Amino acid sequence: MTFYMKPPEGNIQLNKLYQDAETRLFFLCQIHQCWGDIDQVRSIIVDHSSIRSNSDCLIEGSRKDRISHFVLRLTCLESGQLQTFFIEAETQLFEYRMECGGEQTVTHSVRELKRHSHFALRSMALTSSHQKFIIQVQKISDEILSSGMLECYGRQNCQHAIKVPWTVVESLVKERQVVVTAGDVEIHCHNLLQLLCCVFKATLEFGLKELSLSGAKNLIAIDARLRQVKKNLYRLYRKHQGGDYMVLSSNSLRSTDIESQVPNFPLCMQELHKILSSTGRLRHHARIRYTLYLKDIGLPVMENIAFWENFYSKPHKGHSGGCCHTWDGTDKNRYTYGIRHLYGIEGGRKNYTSHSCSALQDLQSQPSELGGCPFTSYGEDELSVLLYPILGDHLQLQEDVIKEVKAGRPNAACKTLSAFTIYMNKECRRKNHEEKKSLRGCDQDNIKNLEEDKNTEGCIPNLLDVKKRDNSSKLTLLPKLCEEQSRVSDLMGKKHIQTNQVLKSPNNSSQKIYDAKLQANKGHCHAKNFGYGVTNTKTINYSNSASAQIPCFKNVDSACSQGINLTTKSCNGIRNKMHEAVCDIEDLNSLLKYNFSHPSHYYLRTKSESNV
Amino acid sequence: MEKEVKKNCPHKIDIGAIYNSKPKDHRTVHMFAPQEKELVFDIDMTDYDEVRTCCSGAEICKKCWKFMTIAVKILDTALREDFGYQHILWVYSGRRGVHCWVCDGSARALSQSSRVALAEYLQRAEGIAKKFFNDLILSDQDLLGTPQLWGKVLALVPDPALRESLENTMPQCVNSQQRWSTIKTEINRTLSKSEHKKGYRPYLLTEIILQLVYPRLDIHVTKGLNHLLKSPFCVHPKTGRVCVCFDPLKAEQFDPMAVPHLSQLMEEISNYDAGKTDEERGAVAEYKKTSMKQSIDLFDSFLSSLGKENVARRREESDMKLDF
Repeated sequence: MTFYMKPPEGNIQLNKLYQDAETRLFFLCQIHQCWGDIDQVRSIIVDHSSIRSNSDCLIEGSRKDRISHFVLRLTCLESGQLQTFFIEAETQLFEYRMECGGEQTVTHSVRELKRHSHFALRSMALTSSHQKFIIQVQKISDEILSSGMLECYGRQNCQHAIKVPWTVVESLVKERQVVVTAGDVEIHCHNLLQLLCCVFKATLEFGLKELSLSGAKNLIAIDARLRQVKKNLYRLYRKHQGGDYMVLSSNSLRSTDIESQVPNFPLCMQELHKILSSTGRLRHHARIRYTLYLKDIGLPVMENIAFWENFYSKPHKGHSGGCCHTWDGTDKNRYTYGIRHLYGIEGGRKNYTSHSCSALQDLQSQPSELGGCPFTSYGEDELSVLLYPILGDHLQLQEDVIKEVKAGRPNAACKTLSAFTIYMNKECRRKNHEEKKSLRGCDQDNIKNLEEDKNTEGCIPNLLDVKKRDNSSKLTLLPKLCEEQSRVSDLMGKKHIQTNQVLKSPNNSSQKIYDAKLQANKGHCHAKNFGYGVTNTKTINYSNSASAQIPCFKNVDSACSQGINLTTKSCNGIRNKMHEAVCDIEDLNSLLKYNFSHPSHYYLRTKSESNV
Repeated sequence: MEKEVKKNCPHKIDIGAIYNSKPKDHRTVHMFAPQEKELVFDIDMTDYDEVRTCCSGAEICKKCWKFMTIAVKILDTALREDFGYQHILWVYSGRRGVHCWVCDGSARALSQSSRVALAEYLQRAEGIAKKFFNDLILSDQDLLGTPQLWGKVLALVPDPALRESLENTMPQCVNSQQRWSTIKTEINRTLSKSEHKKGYRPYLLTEIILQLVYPRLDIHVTKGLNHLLKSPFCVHPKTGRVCVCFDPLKAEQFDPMAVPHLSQLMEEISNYDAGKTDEERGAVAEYKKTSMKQSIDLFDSFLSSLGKENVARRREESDMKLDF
């Protein structure tokens, strides 16, 4: 039952119904994160025992498969978000099944499609547009079967082609992957799978529409058992979405705080803010998106209005997209009313939700639309330019983000950025905390100079162990130290970004321990060093030269006469893990076990994690 | 309907979708949904601000109108040849853009996602763009005229080494045309050398051209099934010009500055009527006395062919239902 045209019939026990639906939903959540990577999909079953033990409901064509699918259809009726997710994930499952199943599966599915289309036209009550669609599908399945494309499946250079109306494959047309002539598209053997996926998706969409029109929602509301099933499934879904971790916004933000919080914003909102700051205006849709986002992160309505007033009462600078509005007279009233409307205090009293990540990602190809997801709409070069100021010298991280973008996983790319921001915030916090603590014991001036030098060199936050330092540091050597720090990064493989520098302390009894720790860490890095080319172990010697207050590297290739004391900061256990984690993207991501579906969640999460 | 409009004398008329019940009853009906709507496109001159040098904001002139010409031609050709639509009406929007109404039966039935897909498809069309590129970008807009401007164009070249070498040769050339041919030869030479280099972009030139002249549609107008669009032949409230329709094949001859004003129309009617008897005055429909005549004729021919299609469709449908 690959296309799920016919609903199942019969009886089943309630708990089995729920179990199957739950397994299926969980599986769909996992598949959704794989984004078409077949190997990853295959490993899902291996990795999750809960799925393995109940995998009957995932076997294509089985009764349980059909039942669980239709139960989930019923569940989705309430939430547009769940519906979109369901359609996407089921289409991915379908694609996976067709890809793995080979010629036989495809032939079987197309034959079944033809049979069921006949059945649907004969015996199901359909809307006229749905009917038209099924007639088209019938014709297509006929043509596929008679054209010999199925036997040819896999070979690339044959002459088989069928014509389909362009609306059936609109997603292919959008990307210009096919040629449209007089309203029809020619599908060749290598497009066959894509065609089938489009047909599957459209069939599912029509099916859901029919279901919502048929009043099934009321049925669920009446039946207590179905109500319970639905509630549990929603809970599972929300957990996957990260809803459980949501820290409710405290509504205590002020419009003047926004500027300082921008580095914690997701990239999409940072971009909007940038445009607003530089030109002083945002066009309608972009403004709505930003306003809703600000509302979601806890800006109260009066502060929101004040925020826009601040920009719009000043004249606009430069090219502002043709906006010639200011904040007086009718414009002011319009804008104020609009913002209040978004909060649900005017007009229809609807509490608008902010745009979700997927909605923003869908905006991708509109060049004049602002505020879409940068990870889908920007090219690689533009992204690199954007990422550099944030990620700095962490080139490996940048490469990984770009890799995710290329693979079509914008959420993963954004997650990486979020993890990095949290990590950096935590480090800054910790460093500030450390410095404050030791300010009393150390030379205040020296510290100030240290800070200045650090800033002028633009160094990556330095976990300066001021405590251990005594006042014999030669500050002039510090810039060089910073320079060497990046070379140390090279040495250690670029992933080992964080190097702590301890200004030489005369008491080196603990040095051996440091040495050992360092070697161990290096080894760890090597293991996780994805072919970064640090093949020979470079030893860093530690010397006790009393005169050399600040050691520096002269020649990184050989054992150095003077070495930098590299040590991992001894603090609590989590810290250590994090230092090691910086070596590896996977570990960074383990900081975030959740997903976020809205830009506002990104911010709230980043802020709350950073405060820990 | 003519009586109603004359009685109420509205400022302007906006047209939206056909719904399954009267809009004013929308709260009482269970599923209030749009049934049919023409496929519409809105191209606004302000979206070209980043590539036009002659005007900005709400002003337009003959030079930047060429952007519009390119867009009209691209869209019209693509809609007719690629998608097979035939009943396409192009209307000047009154101030700084054009609207396109596609009224074929199949176009009216398109879903929202189809409309979005179509709009995105259109924004990537290339053939005609090249033809007009020279005239518009190089001569009129002179986009390679100053260091600032050519810097912006060169920013579209992804390879930094190539970009630098191009930047160095720019000052040596005398005008935009020369610079463009230099850029062209340089890029072609580099591409033919480095076939398998990472980032190989065989269509770099086309991409650059497209980036400058592609039709910038407002996707929300096309996508929204509940979006309203100004009706043809309305008067634009800010300029007083009439939103006349024009022939897309003669788009380059259309002069937005020569579109009739309301006051101009009044004058023309009184001029015509002067020295004629009442009978003669009444014999000719008022609009035929003015410079709007041409565009109304265009509109009429559009309507008649559309009408024929509608009649044919209705006949087909009643045949199917066996309703006599």
